[in-house]
Amino acid sequence: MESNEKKPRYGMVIDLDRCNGCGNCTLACAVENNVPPAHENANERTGITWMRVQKVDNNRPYPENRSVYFPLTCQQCDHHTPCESVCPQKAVEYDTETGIVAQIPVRCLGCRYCMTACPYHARYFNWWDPEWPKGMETALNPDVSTRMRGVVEKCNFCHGRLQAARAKAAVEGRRAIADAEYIPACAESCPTKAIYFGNLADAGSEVSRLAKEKNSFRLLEQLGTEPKVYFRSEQSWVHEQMNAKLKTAEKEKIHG
Amino acid sequence: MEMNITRREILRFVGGSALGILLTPVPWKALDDSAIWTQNWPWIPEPVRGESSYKLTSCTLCSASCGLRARCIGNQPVSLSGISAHPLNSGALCSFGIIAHHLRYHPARLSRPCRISGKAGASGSTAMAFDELLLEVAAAINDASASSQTVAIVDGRPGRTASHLFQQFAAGLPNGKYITAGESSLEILGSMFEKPPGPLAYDLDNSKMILSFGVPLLDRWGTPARTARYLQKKSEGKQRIIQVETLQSRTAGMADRWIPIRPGTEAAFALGIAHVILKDKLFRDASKDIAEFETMIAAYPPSAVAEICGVSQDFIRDTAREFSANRPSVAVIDGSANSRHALAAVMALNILVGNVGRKGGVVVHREIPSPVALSKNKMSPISTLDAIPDHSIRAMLIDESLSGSSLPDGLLQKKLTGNGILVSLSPFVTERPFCTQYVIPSPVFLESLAELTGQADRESSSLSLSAPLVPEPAGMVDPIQFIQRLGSAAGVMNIDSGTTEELLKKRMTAIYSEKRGSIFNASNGQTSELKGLTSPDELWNVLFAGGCWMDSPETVRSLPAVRLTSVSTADRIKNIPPESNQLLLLPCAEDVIYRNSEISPLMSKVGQESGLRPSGCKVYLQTATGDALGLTDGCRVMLQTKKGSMQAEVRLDPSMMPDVAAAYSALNQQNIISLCEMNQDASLQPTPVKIQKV
Repeated sequence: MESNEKKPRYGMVIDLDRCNGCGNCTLACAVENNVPPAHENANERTGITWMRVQKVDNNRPYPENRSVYFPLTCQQCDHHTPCESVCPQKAVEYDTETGIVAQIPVRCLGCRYCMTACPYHARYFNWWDPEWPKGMETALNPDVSTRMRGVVEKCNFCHGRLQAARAKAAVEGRRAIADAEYIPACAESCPTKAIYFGNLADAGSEVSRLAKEKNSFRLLEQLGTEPKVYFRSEQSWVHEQMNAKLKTAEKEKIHG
Repeated sequence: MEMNITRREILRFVGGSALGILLTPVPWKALDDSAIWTQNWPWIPEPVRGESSYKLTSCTLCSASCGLRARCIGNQPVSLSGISAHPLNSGALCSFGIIAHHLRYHPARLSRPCRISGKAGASGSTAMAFDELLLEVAAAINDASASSQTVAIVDGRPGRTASHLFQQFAAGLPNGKYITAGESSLEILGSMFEKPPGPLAYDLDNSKMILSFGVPLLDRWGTPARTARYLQKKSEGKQRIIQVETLQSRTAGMADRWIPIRPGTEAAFALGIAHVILKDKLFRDASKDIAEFETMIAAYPPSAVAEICGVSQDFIRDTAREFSANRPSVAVIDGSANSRHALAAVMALNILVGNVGRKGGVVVHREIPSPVALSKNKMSPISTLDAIPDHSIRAMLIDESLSGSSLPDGLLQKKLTGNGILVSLSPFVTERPFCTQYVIPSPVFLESLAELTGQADRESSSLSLSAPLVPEPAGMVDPIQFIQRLGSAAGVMNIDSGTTEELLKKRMTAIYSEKRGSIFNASNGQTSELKGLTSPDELWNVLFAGGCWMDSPETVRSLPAVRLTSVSTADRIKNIPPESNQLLLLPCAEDVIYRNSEISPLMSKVGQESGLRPSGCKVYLQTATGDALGLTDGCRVMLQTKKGSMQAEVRLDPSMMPDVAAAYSALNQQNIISLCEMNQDASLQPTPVKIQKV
């Protein structure tokens, strides 16, 4: 059996100085995970977007005002994972082998305790059955099941891609997978290369090096949930303003 | 032996069984299964399972021609990603391209030719047979020829084989005009030369400094790989971008410097820079009329321009010196949002510092070989819509089969005669309520063979093919079929014959015989000299599988003389709205971009869900400006200009310029453009607006 030290801890570093807010990550995520187009009655609270690009500014008046975009997704909490600890159905699973916090929709009874517990507003409830324009359902990703009305869903670091990489490695007689074999759709699609993904437990990895840089930070770090999604920016105001934005919890006011 | 079962024993048995069954997996399995059954109702769409395969092709959504890889289940593409080694896009796709495989399912997809009534609000769409439509359009064309009225064909993607057939069609009519809707700033620059210099393009990758007037360089203009390339060059000190723009756009936020100027003062700012360049003898131009030009712009010293634009004089001087010193540099301007006067003023900067015909500046592309262009059939010269008198076009044909470039409706309306018709080749229904419109359905991306040429932002031109990966629905018409059949119906016989594939294969043969340029093979990620290929068929096969041919850059050659004095200084901008309680209304388009019919319905995931509902137009104001007017975030106001009025919802935004109201049209609502004053060339002017709370 592998020791704990050798187990991967998949994580992400998002360089906000490189993000131009194009929304590719949001769209690639929706394609990969079969998230349907917005329902006609959806609003900012009820719409489903596993990775949503938010905008935050330095709160200075014109012309000193500056803003950055930040993609917000499940922060993959590593310690006392709030959503997992409150779920009565064991529909949230923390994978000790990878550190990935996964949602199992078929177990979910839709109580939404996890949504209340999540400090990052990164969980979404299906208020409607998924619907695609006629014919578009034939273009769904066969590796990910669709979800029905009444269950919660969220980012799982494209777990289907990890499974596919593992299956490929198994066929080739390997136990481990290489870093390049598993990359979530958002990181793959980012045209500015702002999203780095990899094994945080591997001290030699790019993502591990970036996570330790002085300009890197995590959201609501004081809660002690040890998120595995890091952000970095050389602009000092970004850290404070992002946390302030989350604390307001007014999703209606967040201009995507 | 008598066996008596008492009531107590029955109860014991039932109770024991109930307790016992809890110790078995049965109830838990039943609970688990019922959860699964209730979440797999037949009306919940299920993905189609099957083996994955990957196909390589090129994106047709804009002239960037990005190479992409389609993951397919059977023949059905289920996701798209960039080809990382591709020289044009380096693996990057834009947000439209990444979901372009959904376009064929768009609810606005057109399945049959139709005629749309010219009256606004009248839902007069009538389906008709293609032959019937051709007869009606041919009659209008013949009517125009008989009465010496113009028939114009507008091409959003010049340089294709279809474009050359369009030129043949226009040449076959007494008053036929072939009009391109390419990068209008470059067209303006071309028109400043005494003779046409050839196809012009910006060489942004080799430029040391880019002075951008509102061009979304790091957002959605040209190749999506630019931001990554720029950030790399910036870290190495090899490229700088100065963004001159009223709003804090994404490009403005990432550029080395953002110079916020008042709306509509781009021309004045450019002339101010020109003034400094001439005054400080920083120019390298040898145009004959430079002294005359200096006199023309004498009214634009930095002190005056600073007042017009609302910026410091130092910004103007520093920008002029930096632009001149950091050669090769290039000035670019958003052709779709500015007047031709502003475009000419910015292009004059390129001429002044000797950036035209120079690597890293504005370069001249070589013509891509085309057997159609060299055939015995005459081709019409290229015209611009500006050069055509107002209300003189009886029939206007627009090729909208490939998206990416279009002309504003205001300009089209101005050029048509009272009984003018518009014939559009498009995959989607696009209603233009000012004239009778015929719409012919064309295939969308991935359904048909398409040719991609151009690259207005690269050192040399390129050619790619987009291969059909999925079958096209019945009744679709491609641009080559369209013009050949219309020519036949209208009696225009000087158009080359052959199917799309035959004509494109002939072009491959012509390119191959030139033996110039290089070829990228997407299958192995290698780029090699074209002359290394063994046959035109090999070239075809490489391009058909996501490859790309790149022409060799034009060697430096002497350019025709240029006339700087063609820049007009007439419409000097007034800087402050004359009356109190008035702001400058700035129409914006960004908020409606994901409602465009040319993009996947999944684009609704980007932005706010509330923006998808017909909630009225939104107007963004500086927080202090809103406070001064007594307005709060979310309140409703009436926007009143000389052209009309409209209700809007207020958004207070600290990044906004004071006294400016940036307005975004809402879905299915009155367009904000209807409130704006228009320039002669149909570009919009910032318009004084009164805002009152309702």
